[in-house]
Amino acid sequence: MIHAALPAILPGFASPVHDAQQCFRTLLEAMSRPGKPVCLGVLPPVTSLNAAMPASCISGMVAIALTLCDADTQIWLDVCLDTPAMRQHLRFHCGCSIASGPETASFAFIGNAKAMPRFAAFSPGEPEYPDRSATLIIAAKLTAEEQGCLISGPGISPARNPQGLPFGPGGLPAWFWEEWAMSRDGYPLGVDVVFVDSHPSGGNFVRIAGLPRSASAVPPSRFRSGSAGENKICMSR
Amino acid sequence: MPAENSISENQRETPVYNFAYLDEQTKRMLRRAILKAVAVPGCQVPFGGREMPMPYGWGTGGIQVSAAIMGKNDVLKVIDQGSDDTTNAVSIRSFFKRVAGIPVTTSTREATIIQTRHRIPEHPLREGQIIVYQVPVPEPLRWMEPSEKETRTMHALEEYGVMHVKLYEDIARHGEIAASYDYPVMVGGRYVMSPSPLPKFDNPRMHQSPALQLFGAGREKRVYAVPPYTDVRSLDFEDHPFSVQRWDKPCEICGSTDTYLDEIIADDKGTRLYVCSDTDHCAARLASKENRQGGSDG
Repeated sequence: MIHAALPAILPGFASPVHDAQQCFRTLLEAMSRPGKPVCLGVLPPVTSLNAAMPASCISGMVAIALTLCDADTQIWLDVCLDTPAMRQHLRFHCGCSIASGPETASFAFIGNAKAMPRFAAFSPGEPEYPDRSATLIIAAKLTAEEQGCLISGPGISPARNPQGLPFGPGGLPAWFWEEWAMSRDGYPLGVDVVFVDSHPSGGNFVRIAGLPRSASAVPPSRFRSGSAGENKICMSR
Repeated sequence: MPAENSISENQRETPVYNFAYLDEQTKRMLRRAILKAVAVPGCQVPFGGREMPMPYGWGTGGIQVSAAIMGKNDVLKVIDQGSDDTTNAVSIRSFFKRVAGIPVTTSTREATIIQTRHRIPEHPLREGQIIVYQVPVPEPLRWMEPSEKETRTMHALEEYGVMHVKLYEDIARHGEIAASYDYPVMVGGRYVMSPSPLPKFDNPRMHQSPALQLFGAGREKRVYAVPPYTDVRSLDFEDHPFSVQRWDKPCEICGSTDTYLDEIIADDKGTRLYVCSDTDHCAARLASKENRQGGSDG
């Protein structure tokens, strides 16, 4: 890919008002039902933005940026996503500034979760204003068969999931769930996460799942593998 | 009247406002606030309130939240004290019909977004529905502590003793907790929240509700949320447990005994009637009752 030959900026949403609204409602559903994969059905074109990642995943991330980011938000891109084409695209469409480090970002886009900074690197908000925290948009395999953890809290029906909802996005760093469980001690401070499926979707959609800070997680190391069989049930909606 | 006619003609051809009235930047700001509010249930998230084409107290907070979430495929229901037909409900409904062009309904079942002033519909809400409350005073501690800086700190430190003292003083004075509406609740075991001037009758129905509940306060420019399946407990004491209102008489119109009833003065002699506050539920109940009777007659 030759960056010098990139004068043409790709379009954003085909219908900026309605597509952004639809994308927001999908995000709202994801955040209010943690661990439940939902389908993001309106995607902006992204060919040539980043060849290293599946188009559907990049497209999902760009859709989230187009929906939520503007001149009032600072965003941070990890090494995997931080390409000149991506910067130009987001600057043009969102008018957002790109942070040099994760600590000042209100939205952090993470393409390579394995190398992501620890949660402490991001803004957890302030005790009086916990809403001033970072939102992490992380590429992860939502179709993964691997054993995740059991999450519970607001948005997860205790009647339907008495032990918690099995949730195991693939491709996360080994410390992720242990640290998530630890960061719950600081609640209501903390970061919120939106996972964008890094598995090619093969269509003009991508699956996303929310993990707000209100969700508490029992890491795999702390429960017996007996309940992991339920994983498939939740994944195939 | 020709001038007025030509204006409305114009409006039909080219929309004067963006979809759902608010501009896109305002919607983005509201949407970010709503997502954070959902992530921290019960926490009041400030937003940059906009001037709306109606005065504060008419539901500008709820309207801004509704405008930020609604899309072409939504069906809107608006109620004011349970009724679909009062001025506030009718004007908000026609406002959105005009600026968003979306279908409106009075049926709780058909609606995807329900904007409400001070009631939860009697018909149980389902997953996927969003109920938007209009909130006049979002801060439950405001009557005890006038300073916003102080109440922020109290929420941060989970310092809610003063609220229990207030409830205790009620018991000391009246023998019971006298609050019958805007009865404070504990959300997700962390934040004390004002459920807006909802009759306490509706408090138990906020607990573990399958629908998403959003609260918008226009004057105070704040939004807060209760996600689906979230614990909402009304504050009380072991020896003075929370209880809801009960009526001795059934609804005068539909005969319901398990709904929230409004008292209506029927004539100059002071005759009192009790009727359902939820007009849609009352009408549906009456219709099914008449159907059943009609069926047995035939």
